[in-house]
Amino acid sequence: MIFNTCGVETGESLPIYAGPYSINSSLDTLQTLSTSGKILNHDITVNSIVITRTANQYGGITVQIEEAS
Amino acid sequence: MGVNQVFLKNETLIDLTQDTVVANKLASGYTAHDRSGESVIGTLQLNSTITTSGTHIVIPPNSTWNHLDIFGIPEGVTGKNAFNVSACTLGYYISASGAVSRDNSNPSMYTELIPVDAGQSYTFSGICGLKGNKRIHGYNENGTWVKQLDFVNQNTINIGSNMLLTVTIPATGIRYVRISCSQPDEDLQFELGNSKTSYEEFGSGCYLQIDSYLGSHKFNRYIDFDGHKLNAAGYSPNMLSIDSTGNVSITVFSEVDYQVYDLDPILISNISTRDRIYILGIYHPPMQYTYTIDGLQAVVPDGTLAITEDGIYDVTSYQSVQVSVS
Repeated sequence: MIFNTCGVETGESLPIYAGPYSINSSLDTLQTLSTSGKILNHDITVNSIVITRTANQYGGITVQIEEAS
Repeated sequence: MGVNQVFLKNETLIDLTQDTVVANKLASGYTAHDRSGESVIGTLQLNSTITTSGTHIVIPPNSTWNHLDIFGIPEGVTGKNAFNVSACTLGYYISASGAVSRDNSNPSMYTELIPVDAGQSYTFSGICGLKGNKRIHGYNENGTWVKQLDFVNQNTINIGSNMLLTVTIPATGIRYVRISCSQPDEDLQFELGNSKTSYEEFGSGCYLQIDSYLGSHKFNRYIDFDGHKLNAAGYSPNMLSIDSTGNVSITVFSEVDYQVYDLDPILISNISTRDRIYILGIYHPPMQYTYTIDGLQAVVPDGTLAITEDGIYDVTSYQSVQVSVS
């Protein structure tokens, strides 16, 4: 007899999602986590985009936008 | 502090740091951001035009132009000392009767015609270098000798002593003076006023430096026009126009800097009513001069400008301008 995690009979056995559970930000591509049809019981961490602000010699501020490394 | 650069990874999204926008270069009322990223509101008055009334070019005293350069050729901008030793005629003196005579025994000299104003007092000063007569002669508008105005007798002055003559120009009849003295005399000065002031070389106080000559006129070498050095093969935009009635207009492209290259412009404070300035406004030929005027009035007597096919005014005779502070 196959039960899902709520104890309901489903008739099939779902695999457990094996990660990744942490991904870096990307400014260029869409990243897809393959969680469809899988059991997920971990938190997923998405790293933020890095934005730095520094004063420059011309009297203004330089804003640098980068992906998290 | 404003944002003036934004980079997305290695890609430049915006970069204002090399921009040159400043308020006085941006049309009045328009907005932009300068290279620091701060907002700028333009103050520039575009294509301001000075129009003429008859033969007068009038620049209002409270003009918004606080730095107006007009191409022109100053002549006779002398500073306070009008005694130009380098322009003296050497080896000759002028007697009490106005006769010009060769001096075979003593090294004498006399000045060019120095313009003077009726009723004004002028002071001639110097240090005696030779026991010779020192005379101030008066001449009329045509340069014809009228009379001796004053003199120092050679027997009353010693070498090394100070010479001092003050004359008041009569109400009528005298337009120029010549001074006859000795070549070894030093610190020679002829100045407006009834007292001697500290000695200055002829030309001191003039911000215009003389570099070269064309005919009898003195010229600068170059004018820097908006970063482009002009020379004999140079070109500058037309600044003068003349209508069917002969009135002259000077169009000032105030978004452009007109500056004398390598030289400072003459300051208005150093231009007196006795100075004459030739306005060319146009290149070709010769080179132009620049002077700075800030609330002055100029009178343009006769002059000739010929329009060439390309719309540029060729100067076929100089525009003579009497300058006075309004």
